Formats: sequence, C-alpha cells, structure tokens
Amino acid sequence: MLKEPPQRITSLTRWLSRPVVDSHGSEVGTLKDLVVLLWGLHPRVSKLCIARPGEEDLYLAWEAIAEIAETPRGPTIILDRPREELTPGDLRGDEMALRRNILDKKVVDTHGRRVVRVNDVQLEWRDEGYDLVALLAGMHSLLGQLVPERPLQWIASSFGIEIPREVVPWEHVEPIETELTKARKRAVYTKLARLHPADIADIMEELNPSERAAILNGLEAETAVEALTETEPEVQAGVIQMLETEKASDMLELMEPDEAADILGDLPHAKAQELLKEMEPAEAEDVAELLEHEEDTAGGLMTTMYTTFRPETRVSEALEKLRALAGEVETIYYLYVTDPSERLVGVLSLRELMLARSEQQLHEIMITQVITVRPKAPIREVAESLSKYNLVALPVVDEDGRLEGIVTVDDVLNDLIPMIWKQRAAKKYI
Amino acid sequence: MRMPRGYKRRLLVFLTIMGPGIITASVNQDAGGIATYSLAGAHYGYSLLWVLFFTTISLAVVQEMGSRMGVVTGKGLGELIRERYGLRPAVLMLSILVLVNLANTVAEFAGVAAAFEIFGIPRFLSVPLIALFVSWLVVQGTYAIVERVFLIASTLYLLYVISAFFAHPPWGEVLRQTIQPTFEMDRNYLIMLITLVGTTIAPWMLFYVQSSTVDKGIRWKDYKYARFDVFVGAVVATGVAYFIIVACGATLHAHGVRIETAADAARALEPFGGRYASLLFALGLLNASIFSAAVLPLSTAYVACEALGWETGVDRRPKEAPGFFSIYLVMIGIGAATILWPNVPLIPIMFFSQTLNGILLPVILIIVLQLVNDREIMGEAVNSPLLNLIAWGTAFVMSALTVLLLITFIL
Repeated sequence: MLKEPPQRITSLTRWLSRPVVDSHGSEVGTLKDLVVLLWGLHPRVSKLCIARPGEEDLYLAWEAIAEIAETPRGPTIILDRPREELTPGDLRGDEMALRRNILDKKVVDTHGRRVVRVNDVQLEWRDEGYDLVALLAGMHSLLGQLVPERPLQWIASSFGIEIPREVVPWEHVEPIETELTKARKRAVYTKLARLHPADIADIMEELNPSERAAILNGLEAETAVEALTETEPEVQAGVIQMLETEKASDMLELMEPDEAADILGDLPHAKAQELLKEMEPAEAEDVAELLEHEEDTAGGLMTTMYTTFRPETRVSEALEKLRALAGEVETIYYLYVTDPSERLVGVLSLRELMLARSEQQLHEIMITQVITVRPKAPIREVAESLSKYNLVALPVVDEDGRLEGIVTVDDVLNDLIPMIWKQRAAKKYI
Repeated sequence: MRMPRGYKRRLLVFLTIMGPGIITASVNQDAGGIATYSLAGAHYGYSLLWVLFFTTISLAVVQEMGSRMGVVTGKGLGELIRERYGLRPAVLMLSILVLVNLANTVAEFAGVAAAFEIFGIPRFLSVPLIALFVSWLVVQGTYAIVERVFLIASTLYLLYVISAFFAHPPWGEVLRQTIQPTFEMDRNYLIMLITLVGTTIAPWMLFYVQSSTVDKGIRWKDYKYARFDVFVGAVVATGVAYFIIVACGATLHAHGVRIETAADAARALEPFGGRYASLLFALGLLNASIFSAAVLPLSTAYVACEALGWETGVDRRPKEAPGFFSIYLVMIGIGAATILWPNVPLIPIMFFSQTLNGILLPVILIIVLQLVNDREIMGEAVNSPLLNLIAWGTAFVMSALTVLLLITFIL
C-alpha cells in the first residue's frame, strides 16, 4: 500500500502509457487508464487499468501499488506482489475510467457556462489516495503535452505572453457523454439542470445535434422543454428530429401550442404529421389548427391558450375562474366574452373587472366594440393595431366572428425585432 | 429569433436536395480539379478515362464511410481522432491536413489569378482583392448566404457535358477506353494517375462530408437517404470529371495542344461556347476557385478547432473564436501571398497540389479505416468485408503508386 507518492498534485497524461512492474521488477504492462469511484464531491482513484500485450486488459485495485518511482519521463508503477499473484478486478457500476470517459472529451463547465474539451485531468493526493479535483482545458495544458515545459516557458516569456491556464474544478464539471450517461435512462445531468434554462440552451447550441438530443434525454421533462424553447428555431427543429418519436411528442405536448406549431412548421411535412399522430389528441388538435396558418400572420402568431366567459357570468364568478386558470392561459389581462356559438360579443380588461361590483354580470360592463384581427392579417397589421389601441393582446376571429385565438404583444415583438434588425443591417450595406 | 415559415420551408427543401454528398461533389470541382482533368484530357486523350471508373467506386465507398461515421457517432472526424487516439496523434494528423489543405488553398488562388488573367487583369490586383473578399465573407458572417450563390454557380461546369457532345468525339473509342485499363511505367504518367485520384478523392472531403453529415443531424434510421446522397454525389463528381476529360480530349488532344495557361484549357469549351469559351471558362474557374478558397480554410479551421476544443463558428465574432479565425485568415493569407511570388507558374501549382492530395490520401484513409472498423465506436455499423476490400485496396494502390513514383526518381 502506497503511503506517499512523489508528486502530491499530478495529471492523468503523465501516467498514461507508463510501465507497470511487479514486485520482482518484471513488466506487467503499461498503464491504460485510471478508474475513479464516483462517490462524494471528489471521486477517488480506485483502480488501474493495465494494457498487456497479447492479453486482455487487467483491472487492479489501487491498493496493489507498492511504490511509485518518479523518472524524468513520468512515474513508473511498482506493484506489491509478483505477477502470478495479481487478483484481477472488474469495473463496478459506480466506477468510471477517466481516459475512456473524460480525457479528450467535451464537458460542460457549469460555472463558466460553456463547453470545453478536456486536455488533462488533475489529481491531488489527500488522505492516502488520489482524488480527482479538476479538469484542465485551454492553451497551457494543450501545449504542455506537445512541447516540453521549459522551452514553452522560454518562448512565452520571450514574447512576454502568459499562456492561459484553464482549470475547471470537478464540482462544476458535467460530462456530456460517458458510459454512465448512456446507460442510465434519465436525470443524469444534475449539475447542468441547476442552470437557468436559457443558459442550458446556450450550451446546447455549442454542441452537435446528437449531443443536444442526449442532453434533452437526460434532463427532467420540464427543464428539457424550457431549455429547448430557449434555443434557436433551427436548433429546435434539428433536435426534435434527432429524438425518438415518443420523446419528441411528449416534449411538444408540454410546450405552448404556438411554440410547438413553430417547431413542427419547420420540420418536413411527413415528420410533423408523424409527431402530431403520436401526441395526445387534445394537444395535437390545438397545434394542428395553428399549423394551418402562415407563420407571419395573426393565425400563425396566435395561441389557443385562452379562456372565454359568458355574458351572464357574474364578476365574482369570473374572478374565481381567472384565479383557477391563471397558470394555464397566456394572458389574464383581458376577458373575452363569447356567446354559446363561440362568437366574440365583448371584451373587458382585468382592471375593469376588479373595479366592478361583484354581483354585476359581465355584459353590463363589457365593451362590445371589440378590436379584432382576421387569421390572415399580416404581422405588421397586428402590430399596428396593438400599438394604436394600446393593447397587450388581440383576439383573432374568423368571418363569422368566432374567436380562434389571441395574439399577445410579446409574440409579435419576438418576430418584429429580428425583422427590424435585418432591415437595419441591410441598410448598412446599401 | 424566428423566421417566416414559408422562407424556411424553401430553405429546408433546398438543403434536403443539396445534401452533404452533393455539396462535397460541387466543391470538388475546384481549381485543382479543373486543371487536373483538363491536363489529363489534353495530354493523354481518353486513355485515362478508365481511372475514373474505379475512382467513382472508391469515392462512393470512402464518402459513405465518412457519412456513416458522422451519423453513428454524431462527431466530426477530427473530434473522433482526438477522442480515440489522444491529443498528440490528433495534432499530427491535423498538421497533415493543414498542410494539404494549405496546398489546395494556394491552388485556389492560382485559379483566381488564372481566371482574371484571361480577362487581362493582373494577379497583383486580383489575388489580394479576392483574398480580402473571402476574408470579409467569413468575418462578417455573410458566408452562409453567399455559399448558395456559389453552389448554384458551380453548375456552370455542366457546360463541359454539352461541350463534350458538341465536339463529336469518337464515342466508340471513348467508351472502349473507359473500360479498358492501360498502364505505363513512366514518371509523368504515374504523377498523373496519383493526381487524378488525389483530386477526385481529396483528403479534405472525408472530413467535410462527415462534419456536414453531423451538422445535419441525421438519425441512423434515416441513414439510407444520406447514403443515397453520397452515392449521387460521387457519380456527379466523377461524371463532370469524365466530360471535362472527354471535352479536352476531343478538342485539345486531337489538335495536339499542350496546356500551358488557363487560356489553353478554355479552348475545350469552344465546340459549345465558340468565341465565348474563354469567358465561360474564366467565370466557371473563378467561381469554383473563390468558393473553394473559402470552403477549404473554413473546413480546416472547423476540424482543427473542434479537435482542439476551441470555439468555432462563422456566426461568432473574431474575438470570441480567435483560433478559428486565425487559422482561416492565415490560410487565406499564405494562399494568396504564395501566388504573388513573382512568376509562379499557375497551372503546375493547381496540378501538383492535387498530387500531394493523392500521396497523403492513404494516410488519412488508413486512420478512417481504423475508426470505422472499431466496434467500440461504430457498434454494428462497422464496414462490411466488401467495403473494407475496396477502401484498403484504394489505400494500397495509392501507396503503391507513390512508391513506384519514388522508384522512377531513384532509377
């Protein structure tokens, strides 16, 4: 059993391919990998993986090391018994081989909110064992493996530059794809899940489509949906195509119908139909209706997440109903009043509702001259109406005056702002 | 940011048709390719057409392997090499790639210079101008839009097909030579063979097709479409090459013209283009050269940055991805500067850059073969014995040709 190594802080690449010899000094093989036990904050090195020429790889417990001899080329590992007495071990479910799963792979730095490629793994000697404390990325660890340390420092100092070191503490590391993430079905990205969905979205955009799908598969459904809706539309359509149909349709069901329609509208027709078929009928119907409209018209912008009231409803009942539904509908600032055939007959604002007496009926206080748009109205017209009448939402009605949905001001802004930017950008080059 | 649904639908249809395989095939008709095929036709007539027959099969197999690796692993070839072999081997491989791609970029600027010289514009004006233009495209982030223009303009090469027919070659003879291999143990002949294969199956294409397959996000279930796209791409690439050789064979070789400058090569378009042949040739060459002068450094920068873990992307500012933009701009800079060296011969530069492709192809191919046959990476999707035979055969033949070439230099 090793009491004290020559180096308290060391790195994985110094160890790899180094010779492993038994107690008689004859070579057993070369070090192929170090295995850590995934317990606690800092995983501890628990096993060695030794490559032997012409034989299977050998896993040995760390305790089998008697001594580590430091040479200029790196450490030589000396075992505590002759090769015939070595007892091979197996990789356990909570163990992870570092070279195989971490070194040279992409990981998320959840603190820096970015994706890095791991150049090296830093190990620190604590309580009679090596702990995995941090991953190394950036120029310093990269050049350090290509050029010897001294010439590197000499070049750097003669140019007066500092080669940046990037150390990512293990507590901030979320590996993207390891054997463990592949094996477990869900909720493996616990560190990543703590980030804001918008940050997860930014990180996803830095990854390949298949890695994005892996992340979504590993997150809780709610978090996954929020993160997905925050990504760029091209990314959304791409990742939905990479997911299994069942998972994809589950995610679409959890989204706002207009968001889901936007994604489906970007997919090839056959794929969109396949997903709609897989969705719950009620949700699928909402989305399918929205899909029929062009994206930059009122019909394409509107949501079907609204609620309607009857003219004879009392103010107290309306308030009651609003309170119950407030979480599910897109806006509660307007109450749309419809007759039994869903025709829009009046509207009133939340303010008017609050100011009214509770026994009043809605038809007494509602405005009957409702500002509406047709589903085919272009986005400009919708924006103009919203601005002219100072509204935060507009009802969309068909030829017979039946309410089809509502467009909220934020949906219009989302579409208008990029358009304005594009026009400005275009002007710059003319 | 949302885009109108209609616009994006059109874009998707476009991208579905122009899959990675077909795009790669279009990029393949670059300055080096045009020069090589023209020289092959002008100097050897139809006698090298049989090479294209075998090259089509090799190209299809090699591109299919790259595409399959992209779909199965979801990773680019550079990333895969890094993850499988570690940093040092990856850097070695990247150096080889940067070297050949740099040679190819130099060739693209030779193409730019040659095309402008047909119009009488000196290279000291045209080359720096185009170098600035190509740098601006990517730094400004307008590249993605312009790429489509290039792709559409690359269909200009279909003119060779028409011109080949207008030239009325002896089709019986042409077909006979297409299926009848010939061989000479001659230095120039060996160089031509290596170059012809090297320009058609260029090392960068393996990286390019895999990266673009990854970016498209194709699932294993839908792989059959990707494979079809790659096969079509291979046939299109060698098909265009075939007609360039036939057109040059029927016009230049028949009259014993040797290609010294781009204007000589342009005469192959005369049967169709008449006195506009030079103009058409120059436009085609210019488009292909500019397009590839952007694509080659771009794909090199992508591969290198992905493997090294640096930020990539044309949608980023240079400050956000310094490594990416440095590689891109340095390659453009060296490419353009080399051509500005006084009196560099343009056609030989275009030609010999492709010889380098051919010599280094086996190196990259052997790495790809290791990866694609690794069950830990590919699972059940490893190569079938037939694919292995063809791909190993290609690597072996190319290495053998290089060795033979060396022997002719020693003897």
